[in-house]
Amino acid sequence: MSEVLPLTDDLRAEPVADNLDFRQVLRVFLRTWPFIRPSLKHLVVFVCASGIGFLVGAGMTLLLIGLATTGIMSAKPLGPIFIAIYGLDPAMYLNVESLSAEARLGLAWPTVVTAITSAVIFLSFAGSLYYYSVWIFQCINQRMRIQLIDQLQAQSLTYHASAKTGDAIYRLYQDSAMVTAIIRSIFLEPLMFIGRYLTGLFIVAAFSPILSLILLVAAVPIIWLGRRFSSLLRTRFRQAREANAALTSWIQESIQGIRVIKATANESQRVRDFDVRSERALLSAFNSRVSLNVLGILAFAVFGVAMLSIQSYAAALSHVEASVFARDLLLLFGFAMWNFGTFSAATSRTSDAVGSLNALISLWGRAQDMAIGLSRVFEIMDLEPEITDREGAIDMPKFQQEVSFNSVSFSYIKGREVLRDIEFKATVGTVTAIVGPTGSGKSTLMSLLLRLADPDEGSISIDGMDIREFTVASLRHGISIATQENILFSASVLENIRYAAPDATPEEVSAAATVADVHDFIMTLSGSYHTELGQRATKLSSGQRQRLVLARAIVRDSPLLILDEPTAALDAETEISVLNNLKIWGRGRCIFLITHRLSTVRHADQILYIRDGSVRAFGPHEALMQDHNYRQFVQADIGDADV
Amino acid sequence: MSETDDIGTRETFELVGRSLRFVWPYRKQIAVKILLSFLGLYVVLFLPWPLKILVDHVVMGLPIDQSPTPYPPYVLPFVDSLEGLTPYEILGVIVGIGMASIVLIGAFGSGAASDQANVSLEQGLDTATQSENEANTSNSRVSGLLGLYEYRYQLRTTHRINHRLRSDIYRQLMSLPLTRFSDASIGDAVYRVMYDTPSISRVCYDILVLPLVNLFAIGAAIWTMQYSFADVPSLVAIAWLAAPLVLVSTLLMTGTTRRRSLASREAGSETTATIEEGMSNIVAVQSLGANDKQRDHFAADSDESFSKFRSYTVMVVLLGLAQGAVLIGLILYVFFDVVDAIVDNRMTAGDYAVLYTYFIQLAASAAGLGAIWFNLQNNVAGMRRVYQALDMTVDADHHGSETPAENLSNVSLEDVSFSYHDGTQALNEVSLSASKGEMIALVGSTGAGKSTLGYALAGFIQADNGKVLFDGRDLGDLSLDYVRQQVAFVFQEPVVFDDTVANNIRIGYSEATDKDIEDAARAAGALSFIEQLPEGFETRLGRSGNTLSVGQKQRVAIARGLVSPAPVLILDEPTAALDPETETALVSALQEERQRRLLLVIAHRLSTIRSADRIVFLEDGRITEIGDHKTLTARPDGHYRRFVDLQRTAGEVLPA
Repeated sequence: MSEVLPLTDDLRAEPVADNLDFRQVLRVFLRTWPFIRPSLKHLVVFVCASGIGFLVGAGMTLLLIGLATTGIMSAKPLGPIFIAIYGLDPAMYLNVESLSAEARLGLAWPTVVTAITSAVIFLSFAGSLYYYSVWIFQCINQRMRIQLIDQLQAQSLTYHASAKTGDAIYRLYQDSAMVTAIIRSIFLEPLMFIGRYLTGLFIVAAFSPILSLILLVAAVPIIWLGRRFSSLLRTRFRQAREANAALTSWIQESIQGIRVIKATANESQRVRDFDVRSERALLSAFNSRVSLNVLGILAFAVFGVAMLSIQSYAAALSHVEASVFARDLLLLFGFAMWNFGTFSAATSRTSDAVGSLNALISLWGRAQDMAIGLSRVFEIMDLEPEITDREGAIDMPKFQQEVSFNSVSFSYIKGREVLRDIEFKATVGTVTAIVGPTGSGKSTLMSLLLRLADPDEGSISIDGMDIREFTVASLRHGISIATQENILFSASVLENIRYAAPDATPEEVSAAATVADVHDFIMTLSGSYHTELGQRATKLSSGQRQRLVLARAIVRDSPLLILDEPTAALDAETEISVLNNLKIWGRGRCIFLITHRLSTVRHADQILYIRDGSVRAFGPHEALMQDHNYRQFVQADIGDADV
Repeated sequence: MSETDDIGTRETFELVGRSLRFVWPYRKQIAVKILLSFLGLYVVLFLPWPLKILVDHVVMGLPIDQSPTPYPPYVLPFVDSLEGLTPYEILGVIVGIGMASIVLIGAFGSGAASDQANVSLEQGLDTATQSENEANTSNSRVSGLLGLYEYRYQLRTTHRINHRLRSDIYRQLMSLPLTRFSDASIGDAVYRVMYDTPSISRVCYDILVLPLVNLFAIGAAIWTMQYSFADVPSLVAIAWLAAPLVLVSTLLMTGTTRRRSLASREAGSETTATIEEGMSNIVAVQSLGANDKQRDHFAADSDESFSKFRSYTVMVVLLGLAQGAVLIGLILYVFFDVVDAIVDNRMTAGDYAVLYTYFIQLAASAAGLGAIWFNLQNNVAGMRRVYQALDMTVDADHHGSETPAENLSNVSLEDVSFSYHDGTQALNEVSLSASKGEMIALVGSTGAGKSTLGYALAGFIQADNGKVLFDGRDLGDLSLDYVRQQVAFVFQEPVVFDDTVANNIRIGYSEATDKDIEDAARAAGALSFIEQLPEGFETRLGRSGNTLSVGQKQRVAIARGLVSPAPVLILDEPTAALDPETETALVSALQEERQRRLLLVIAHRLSTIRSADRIVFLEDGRITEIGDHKTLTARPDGHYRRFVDLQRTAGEVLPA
């Protein structure tokens, strides 16, 4: 256990380039399109509503500045627009050098009414828009999560042999959440920020083109910063995410293997290892966050300098009461000369514009993190399910006659053949026992029949048709399997048995349980068939679990049944009873039985003896006893000579 | 988990108290953080004044000494120094100060910089993905160099606290009794370690730093308003009122918010568990054609989690609305008086800017105070889950500290009974004594209590009644480490870790040499296949060792047991997944093992059982027969004899 550093391995295992450029980032983002499209209508509504909200808000702000700053505070005349909107007396407010005290006091009510109106509009609008956006993005996120889990489940066993569960969870949870963030940050927010920046640019140009120029120039260093930081940020975010995923995976493994860790008194070593990993994950989080922080601070410095220049220039202009640039246009609003009102209006617009730019850059920083999250999501999406339906695949017809393996060869890893040239037939109404030493390829052989993987060479056919001609779903539907690892789900006994046959009636379930000789046991449970099994159902003994798994295979009532070590954990009495029941139940079906136990083997009509991935003997027990290899194998069982 | 029930105020305080005790070792760091916050606060209070100077004395051209409102003492020296300067010179000074503050604190005028200081990454729209941001924020009010320092400092401290907590929880998980793991699911455990721990550091900051800083900010703002704007009494009154009003509006909503947040977290945890189950059981899911079923299950859970989050969002939005409404109400209330004051020249335009900034400060600080309670409630669920995990009884609680020097030579059970949580009685007054040098086979039908008996001997479970004795000492008095060192256990369902083969075997005995490992692997019949792996003993096994067959995993697990020098070795069905050849080899290896230890083998197969010195036959949690193979088979109506007969004639009694 001591010093393995899976982190570095994990990093190597995921070959995503860190030097993505802008175009690639964008392409990654564009891939989210299929998930967005169904929500497009809502997004458009959302964007339009936000845009309208912004414009209304900006207009209201100008009105407020005009009333409060120009009118009340500076006692300057207002523009014609105010006269029209608030029905003010032009003699008092428009055609005067400066406003009288009475006139200024008279503006208090219009200001308050405008403020309340805009507050009510803003608060209710912003609140409901926020809720609306949460809903939209959740819909999109849900779509992606489901696609991800589909994709993960569709992978062949070859993929699952090397993938990590914790990592999968992390991806589903954290990384797919990125999608929603992406749409917000890459499609929506920039749109709004750029809109605000440009609006600000135009409005300010009307006040003074020089201010606009400062605004324009400020964008240059900000864009430069963004470019400069992207790759650093991406690298760090990636490390942070991966360190976290590795940690999650590792915790999970610890819990799955808790019994062994305890039995070997390895808790403290494990805790020490945890410390190292946890610290590593935290350190990488620290590094990435601090980098992002530095970018934010630098961008703010640019923002600050720009704002400061604009403010002081505007202050200087106001001091001398210079004339504004687009005088005729701004006269309408009462901003003909530089004064406090003009100063406020201009700086509030520039501040909004530079602020948008600043927000844009911090968005860009975070987008680097999102790009990582997304590329990890797409890594899964890009995995072609290795097992797919062929074009024109048909549903498997009802099994009639025979299953045949034709020179089947298979390897999980290239160059390490697990099965070589397997050739045999099994006909309806027979039990075929597959025996052989551990690791000889028995379970793999059966997983090929289910198309959990496809053979490298040769073929498997059912009633003379290659199984690759059938749809995967119909094939798996036609075959039942009881796996060697007795996997139960956290659900009731009933649900577990009819896990793969949801339509089974309670009668069918109890009939299956009876065949598996587990019905009596179930009836002793406190809630009988409705007893909830905890995750991994550890309360049950292996024998009980095995029989439940067996019942699950039986209840599907398929014509083909694969039993992988169905009786390994059963005692002799139970085994006999189960095998007896199976024999009767199996008439008219084709049963494959992977086993070690001689007592089980004897029930078979024919025996396939596999060793090192190839068939060593095939035939009925009595005939095979003539075969030297097989006899030796049999005599080793029980260490008795009574066979 | 039945955590959806409400958490009362009292419990909240208890949880907080506990969290504070937990962070006590970090008091220095927290004190530094508080100092940094105050420094940042001073700067923020100072900032509006240059803006007033800019507006009044540059834009409006008012001479410095003619401001109708007095400058507060903390900016007065600075203002006095400006006296006699021309507006352009003042502008120059303001620009200089602006530049300096941009670099040092990343702020100027009313431009708040806290957005930059609190980097938060995009997060998902449910609670699980948000706790990560929570673990990585600082409530700094400034940016720039000071802000960067503060952020780094706080992040370091938070991470240290979280790291310690995580380690504690992980250690706790590792020490929980085995029986606990049937109740709590794995996804839930991972969730606790990864996502719940940040709640505690969050809460501690909220409790220790925020009230001080916010109260000071409120106090300073009120004092300044009273000092500078004493001429407008309603302004002063409202300054006093603002904080309490915002606070009350926040507090009114916390109850519902908390319950919704709790539900949201629960749902998130549920979803994780569903994925976890689906992924770890992928073989079953695929081969049963249950992909769609599992997907739908996940989709439903995820949907539920999202909808819980939305209902939580509604609360957050309403809360924002309530605070906004209060604030606007207050500002409008004083507006008329301010207008009067400005028209009367009792206040200036620049004062208006200062006032505006201070009001925002005041409201933000009050909202910050309210948010403390709000966030506290939000985090209480996480805190409680963390402490719940930390409070579970662990194995060590059932053990004393005695560590005898000599190695164990005899174990015995005296009238031991044990029932599982669901009431199933697994052992019923079992008594047995066994010594080093013996090989004992535990035999019986499925569910007879064989494994449970093994667990009781190894100290994995605590007997409800009766005693387990190690060399006459009660198991409960012995230290857990000693017990673990004395007993090696090989489980029926083999577990391998994502590590090299050699390390997987070495878990049994960390001091094992390469030769020990090889010997153990040979005895377990694992050597031949290990040597065929691409890198032999150094080959890394994937998740759950999926690259190995069950039989191979079992042999690795057996090697792990054999490599351990523990005087007691318990093997639970070691040969169930082995082929007869491997089994024969293993049984003969076990013959040698019994010279140096006590072997307890739980077995079904006769070949393994018959070589045992004593066979213990169990039925329904009771020992019905003890004796060697010969003696027991000689009993005409013996339980064991019947078992043997059935096994031997298994084939013949059935119809062909």
